[in-house]
Amino acid sequence: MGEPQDRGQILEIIAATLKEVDPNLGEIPEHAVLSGANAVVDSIGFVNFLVSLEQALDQRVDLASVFIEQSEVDPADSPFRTVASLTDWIADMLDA
Amino acid sequence: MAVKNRSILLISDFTVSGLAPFLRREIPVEVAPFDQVASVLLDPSQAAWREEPNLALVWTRPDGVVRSFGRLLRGEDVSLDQLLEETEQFIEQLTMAADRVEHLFVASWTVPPYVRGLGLLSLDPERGHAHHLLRMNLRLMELARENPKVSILDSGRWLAHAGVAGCNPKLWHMGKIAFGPAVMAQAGADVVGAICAIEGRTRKVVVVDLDDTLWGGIVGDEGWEKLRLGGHSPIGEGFAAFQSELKALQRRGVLLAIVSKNTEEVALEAIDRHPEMVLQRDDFVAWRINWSDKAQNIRDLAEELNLGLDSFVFIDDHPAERARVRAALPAVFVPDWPDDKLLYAQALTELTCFDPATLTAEDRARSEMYRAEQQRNKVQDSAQTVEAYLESLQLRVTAERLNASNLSRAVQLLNKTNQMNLATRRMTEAQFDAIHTDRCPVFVFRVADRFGEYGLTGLASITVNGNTATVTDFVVSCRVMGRGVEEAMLHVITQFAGRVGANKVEATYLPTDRNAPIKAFCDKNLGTPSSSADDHTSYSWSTAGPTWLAQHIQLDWDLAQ
Repeated sequence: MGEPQDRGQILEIIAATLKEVDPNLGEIPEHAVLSGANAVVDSIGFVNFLVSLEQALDQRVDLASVFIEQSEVDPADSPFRTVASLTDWIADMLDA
Repeated sequence: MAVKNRSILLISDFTVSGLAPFLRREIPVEVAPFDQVASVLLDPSQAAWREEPNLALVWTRPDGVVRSFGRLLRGEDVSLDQLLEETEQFIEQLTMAADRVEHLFVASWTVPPYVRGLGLLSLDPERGHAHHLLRMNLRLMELARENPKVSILDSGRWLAHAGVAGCNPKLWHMGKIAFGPAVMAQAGADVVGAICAIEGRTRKVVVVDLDDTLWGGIVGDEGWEKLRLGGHSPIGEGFAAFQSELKALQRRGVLLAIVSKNTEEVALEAIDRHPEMVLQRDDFVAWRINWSDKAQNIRDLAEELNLGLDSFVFIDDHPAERARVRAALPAVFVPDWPDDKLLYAQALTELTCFDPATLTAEDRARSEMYRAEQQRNKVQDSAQTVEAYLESLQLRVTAERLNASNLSRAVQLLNKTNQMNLATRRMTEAQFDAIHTDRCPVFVFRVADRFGEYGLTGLASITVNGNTATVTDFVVSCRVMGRGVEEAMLHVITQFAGRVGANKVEATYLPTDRNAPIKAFCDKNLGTPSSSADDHTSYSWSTAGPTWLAQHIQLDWDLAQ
């Protein structure tokens, strides 16, 4: 699956990965916060989410990515602020 | 033991909070501080114990608590004796912690699957890390045999199920997380299953559909000869494997029943005549094969088997039927079911709701007991009077003291019985064993008749104080209700009380939503209550009173016991 994927598929992968980390999560809207205050998962859940998402993207859309460096950038610029910002960032990587 | 809060404390040398989301639907979760295992286990004043959890899970890495094992993994020479000595120290810590809770779960030790050690020599008895880890785990398992408050959970299965991705080294470097969500999901399922098991909430009945569930095809359309079952086709093998797993469940005491939309004689002919059927008609304790609503049929089965709907699991290939039963009977567990028939056996095996805390002789013989009950029902239907029916049964009641051989079954009975349960106390084996003393004996009652054994179906706990004997627990299985067994139990209690010098026996009924039958029994046999309020009804009777023992009961009991 080396072709760029549509945004809906990326959103679906992100939501499924979040629910792998916490099966109690309900619907996950695009504006859901991923890290910091009001995040849908705690800091340990966020680490689990990052690593699981790397694996899921590798398997499902053939995107070999390493998120750890991105997750350490200034929170204001981080693509991991919300589901929407992360989706856009992944879509850009796939389009590149 | 002081009453504890129903919650579980997670104690680990790695970040274990990722397990909490998989447990919270079942039980409140507390997490002890990271990597403080020894101090938390040893010191009851640690903040982690403040909420007084009734359960704890200790999940550690072997190199985290047995330091020499870490040295072994790093290539140093470490003897097996050294490892076992440190294992023994850890076990002493676990034993101290077990005294603080009602039950302690300990995850077996594993290393990540990418750790290869010495490769060919990893199982070498002199220096292989995998060999030494097996020996350390064997010692942990011995602890569970020595201490009934400890159970060892098979974490190797969790890792195997999750695969290599379950132990990504990135998780460790980023958050000291030893295991990823896929391992936590498996661990969570097993821990929830274990909690249900020790609390006596194991499911007892699995109800299966027939067409495309027990066999492939529609028997009413195709005839039993054309069903896909066994043989040399993958799908036929898949259904046979599923039936084999159901048979395995039955052997450990789970009852099998059928609810299917079919013509009964056509379906039963298939069961009787298809040569590849693993399950025979006798393997099913009851069935409803008709064109009625399946939810109503399951309700009828619950009534026939005298079991609560919360004992039932319903398996059906059709999503609409599953949804209907889920909506109509929320107490029935209806698992999601795979579309792929080859995965049915696996799906059944993965259910944790049948996990037993123990396996008793009664569990293994449960299907036979229900079949005997069906024979009794036929006799009852043809009997002229109730008295004639009871006389024909040739009932024998045997009373004995609680002991190591009957403790497990007695606690099952205590925890599972709702209707004929005076105080509805729920206790672990350790708690119940602790209340049994010479002055506070627990009697258990076994019942049999000409059709077979009912097993251990009654218990009573008594406290003697001066001239008064107080009955706290009086529990009778619904299997023997209304046959004079309850009265025989009253007879034993009263005779015992008189023998140890009491002239009066007291009992207090504590109402629940479901134990009205025991109140009716007390009102009928024990007369006017000595006191009564919304939350209790107390009865009192003389040890010199008339016997309750019915003539149709043969009582085997040594009064000197």
